[in-house]
Amino acid sequence: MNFHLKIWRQEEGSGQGTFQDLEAKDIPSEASFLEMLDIVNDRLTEAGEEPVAFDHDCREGICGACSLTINGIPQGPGRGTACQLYMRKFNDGETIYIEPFRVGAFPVVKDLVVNRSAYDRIITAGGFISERCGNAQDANDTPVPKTVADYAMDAAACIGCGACAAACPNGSAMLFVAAKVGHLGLLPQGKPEANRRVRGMVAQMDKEGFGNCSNFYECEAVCPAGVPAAFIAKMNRDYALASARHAVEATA
Amino acid sequence: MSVASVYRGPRQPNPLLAFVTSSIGKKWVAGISGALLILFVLAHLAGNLTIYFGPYGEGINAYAEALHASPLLLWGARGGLLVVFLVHISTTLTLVLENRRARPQRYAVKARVQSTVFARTMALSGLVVLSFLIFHVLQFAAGMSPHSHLYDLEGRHDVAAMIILSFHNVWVSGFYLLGLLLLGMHLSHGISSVFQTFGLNGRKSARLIKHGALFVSWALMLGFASIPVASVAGYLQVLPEDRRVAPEPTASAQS
Ligand code: HEM
Ligand code: SF4
Ligand code: FES
Repeated sequence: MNFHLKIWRQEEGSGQGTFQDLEAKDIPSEASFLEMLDIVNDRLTEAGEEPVAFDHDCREGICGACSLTINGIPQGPGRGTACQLYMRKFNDGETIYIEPFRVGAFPVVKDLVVNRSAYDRIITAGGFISERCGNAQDANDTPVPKTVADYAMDAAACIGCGACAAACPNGSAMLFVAAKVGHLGLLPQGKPEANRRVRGMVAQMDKEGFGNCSNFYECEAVCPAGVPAAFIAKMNRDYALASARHAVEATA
Repeated sequence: MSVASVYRGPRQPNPLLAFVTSSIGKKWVAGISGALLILFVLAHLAGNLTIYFGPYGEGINAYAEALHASPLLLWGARGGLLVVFLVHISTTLTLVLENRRARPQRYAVKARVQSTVFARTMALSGLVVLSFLIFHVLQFAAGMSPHSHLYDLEGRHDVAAMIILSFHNVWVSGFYLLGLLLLGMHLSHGISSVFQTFGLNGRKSARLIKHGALFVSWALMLGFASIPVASVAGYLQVLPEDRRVAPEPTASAQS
């Protein structure tokens, strides 16, 4: 298959970039999107040109490293990560725009690589359980109702890729933060710190300069893990209740 | 006797202030003010529909008289409403400006996966509704309509005549319908948004809330729109000129 690529190129530290036109010729239809870029990069290297920088790691849709906005859609068309997107999804001869995630809080490092440390700092602000859980316990030592376990698992599916913020017209990180707050807060090990966690993580999210949620739900539509926006509703509620509790405790 | 002071850790910001200045807190403020405005819109519609009582819309004259019976209550409610509007407008515009700043660089290819046109035009629909409201208040509540000074058979301010005669002007009814269209768009996203903001949107209820909100928004707008339509179509009639009585000079029912 042949594709006409328009790829965002940006020098490290320059803060601005432009689109470069590149032809991707004779690409096997079973190549993944990242493999297509590998082929293009090999040819660039052979021709003595600078290959395109892009993030990747597991290439099996579980690590959240890949981060491409393809034809305006973070992680490309359809559910799943860019590494799990195959070229047969595109038409032969199609023009494909490849841009980095565009979020104020995710500055572009180079070409298609963005710095997503802001998500790590949000995790540091409460996205963990302080209690040592020890070794694997006997089954059913800590009873968790099946419905709760399933619900928590839907949020735990988040791979921290950042597509939610990249898809949001407001550059809001709400789906990611809501997934972490929801996942940990639903389970008995995470419950004791639930209030402190949601307040800390939301405060850090705001500090990083992410936008506010306007309930567009673009995040939900692109999320490769299928985290539902209902978790954002849950976090709105949890945050208000935690703040109210905090206000009462601060005056008591 | 002095009480030993307990060290409570580093100075914390005021919890209430921290809440209302946070991203989620601002959404709560927008949602609460928006929900209050929805309640006002509902009450306003119920009041307006009294125009269908009586051969010459006297129902609304009686309703207006009752509203004006207690100036303290009326002005209290108007003041409260103004505050709610100011809170709603200032918080939502703050949100919109912050959101712009959070995404400084746009994509070259604009793609939209599932956000609605209503959601993406909230600031526009809100601002058009605002301009409509200013006109609307000046016209009907501040008595600037040329038909503001008519009285019905019982000496009450003839609100029905003011409304119906104003709507006979196609520009007035056209602008009114346009304002309603934009309010309908605003509520199409606004009502379901309130559920999301208050954390009442569950996975199972999301569809019901979305469609129910759409239905309620446009049902409300149809209710409001029926009055200009019925006026222009001649279904709503005005008390004939020759049957009008002059108002008693002392009992002015106008405010
Ligand atoms: C009768 C008049 C109005 C009603 C009933 C109303 C109602 C609502 C409701 C219910 C919401 C959803 C809040 C949420 O997300 O939880 C909302 C959002 C919004 N309103 Fe209004 N509103 C009115 C007038 C206005 C006006 C005059 C403006 C002028 C700027 C405005 C601007 C906005 C904006 C920009 C949002 C979206 C905020 C966001 O990004 O989340 N509204 N409105
Ligand atoms: S919520 Fe979805 S889109 Fe957002 S970081 Fe997690 S996996 Fe990625
Ligand atoms: S490279 Fe790991 S998810 Fe795509």
